[in-house]
Amino acid sequence: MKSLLSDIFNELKNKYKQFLSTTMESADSTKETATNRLRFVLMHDRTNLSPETMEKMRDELIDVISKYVVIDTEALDLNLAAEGDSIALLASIPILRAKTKEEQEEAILELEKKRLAKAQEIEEVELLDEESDEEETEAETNETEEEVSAEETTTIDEVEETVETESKKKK
Amino acid sequence: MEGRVIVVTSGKGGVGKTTTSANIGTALAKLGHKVALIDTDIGLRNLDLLMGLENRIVYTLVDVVEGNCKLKQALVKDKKNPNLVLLAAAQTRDKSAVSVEQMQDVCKELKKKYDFIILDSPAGIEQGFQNAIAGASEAIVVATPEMSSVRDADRIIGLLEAKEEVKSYKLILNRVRSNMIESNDMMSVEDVVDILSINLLGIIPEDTAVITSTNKGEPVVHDEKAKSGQAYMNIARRIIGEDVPFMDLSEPKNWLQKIKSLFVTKK
Repeated sequence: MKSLLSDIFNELKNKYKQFLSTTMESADSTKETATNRLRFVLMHDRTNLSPETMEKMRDELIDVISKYVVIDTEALDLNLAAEGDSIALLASIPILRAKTKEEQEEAILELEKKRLAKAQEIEEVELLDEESDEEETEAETNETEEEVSAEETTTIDEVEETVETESKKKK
Repeated sequence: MEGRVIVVTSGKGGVGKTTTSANIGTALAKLGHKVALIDTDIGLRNLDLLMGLENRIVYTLVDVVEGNCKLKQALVKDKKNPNLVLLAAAQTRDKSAVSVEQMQDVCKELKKKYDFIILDSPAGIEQGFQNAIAGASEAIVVATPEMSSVRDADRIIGLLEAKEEVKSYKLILNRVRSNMIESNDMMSVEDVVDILSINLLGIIPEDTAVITSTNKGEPVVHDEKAKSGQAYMNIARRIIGEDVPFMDLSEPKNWLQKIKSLFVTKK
């Protein structure tokens, strides 16, 4: 008798739970998705910031901050947020640790190098654009592109070496 | 006193600009005001159909600006209300047939004799839209609680904000389905108003009476039993400055929903 009662009670309890869960599910259904997606797209519409620009901004931000602190670039979060009529740029940047003086100097040098390489790349592209009609130059382009990519993949150790040699040169 | 020029616009097509123009115009005329409706959707005219006046159009807006007829000749009287006239768009021309200045002149002329000039704007943000808002000092933005419509409305609001001549703009949320909002499957009125940060002029429920009245060529505002008709009448009253509370659109619940609502507390 007792077990029968508890069975019925359990059955009822489960039914009630099911009933609740189906009604609760609808609370965060498609409407929430729609408003969130809409808010996001409208912020970009209003500021006229494309995802590419955001990506660029994010990369440059990492460069600047990495001069002074070691950050978790994977977890870095850069987003637009609306509060009333105004739109803000919100960045969440998890810091792993601060850099030592030497590390800071190194990072600054590295950044400078990166910038120079980029400038050079742009110059090369411009030069090549001018002569792009000739087939011979096309072949050259391939070569230089290979060189560039080879440079990009240099390991940290190598970069450190080059930085050292550069700083020696400066002295 | 000069009349008020109000443009009805939306950005996105198919959200109910023309229906809204026809009903607000008719409602204002029913309230005793002199109203001129202008269809500025040149090439895709429909306001004449919704008003049931398609057989009476002789001259159009383009005829007026090109001097083929006098403005008065092109104004077609409504079937039911002598206070209401329609200036139809040309069907065989395109948006470039009327310039911004010409539109302003027509509005200026009509302002002298009519209390309200309602401009039905074409969809889009190009020349046709620019023409439609040229003479207006107020705007009504029509949107439905759908993402694409709200996004386009936001764009339109941005363009209206940039226009100095447009002194005020308000939102009409059209085709609202209260049952879907209750089950959290449609953005609510508050959601849309919050996202667009705009003042609300009215809410129109999704209503089959809108379709049947369009079939007949009689704006739904003539149908006193239709909820959408009542909602349009309320909007007209708000336009003339009356303080009308927003309608409760929620449908009566059946017993099962009542029990459910006892258990579920809203977030």
